[in-house]
Amino acid sequence: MPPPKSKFAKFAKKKAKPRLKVKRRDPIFIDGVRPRPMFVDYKDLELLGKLVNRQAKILGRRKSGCTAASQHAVTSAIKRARFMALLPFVGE
Amino acid sequence: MVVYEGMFILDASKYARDPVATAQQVTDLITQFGGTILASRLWDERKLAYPIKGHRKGIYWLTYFRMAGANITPLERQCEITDEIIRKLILKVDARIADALVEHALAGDAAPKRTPPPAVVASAIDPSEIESEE
Repeated sequence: MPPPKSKFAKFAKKKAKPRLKVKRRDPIFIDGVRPRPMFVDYKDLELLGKLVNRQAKILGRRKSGCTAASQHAVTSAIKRARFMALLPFVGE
Repeated sequence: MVVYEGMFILDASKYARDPVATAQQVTDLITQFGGTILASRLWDERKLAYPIKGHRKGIYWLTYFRMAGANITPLERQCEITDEIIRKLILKVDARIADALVEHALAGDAAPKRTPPPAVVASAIDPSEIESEE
């Protein structure tokens, strides 16, 4: 017979499920290796298009999955592309 | 001397009238300030993401050149004065990837892909890094 349920059982803390650690995939890395020197081409619109949202805002690191170094390069590349009218400053 | 990448947006209507002379103007400007041109080609002809000085279309002219750093400022000033050039962006290229980029520009007729090409990256990989990742 199972032990009688405590009155406060429903308040008991659930054990947190162990989360699988998924390695973040940096979109700038080539085959998982950081390119040296870090280089993001502002003319690569296919790549930069994925790193801005519909309003043409730059995605944060949480969304883009970039490391600090690559996010830094992406940001400057997007700003250069905007200056050269390859990307809009304001999207839809 | 340092390698620079210069991207120039040219006036589309003037380019349509006389493509050779308009493109020549860009290369002439660079040589006039003591630069040696490594690559110079049409990158794309596209609609601008937003109008610049009333222009809606632009010719993107891509160049790579070697020049003394002191001459960049007068070159930029001259570009501002030139009517055919709507906008320009001159960037210093890292010496480690300069050759690969120039080669890519000379060879490429398609849209530019992810650079640097694998050959450059492979040489830049630190072997100890690979081991730690496994």
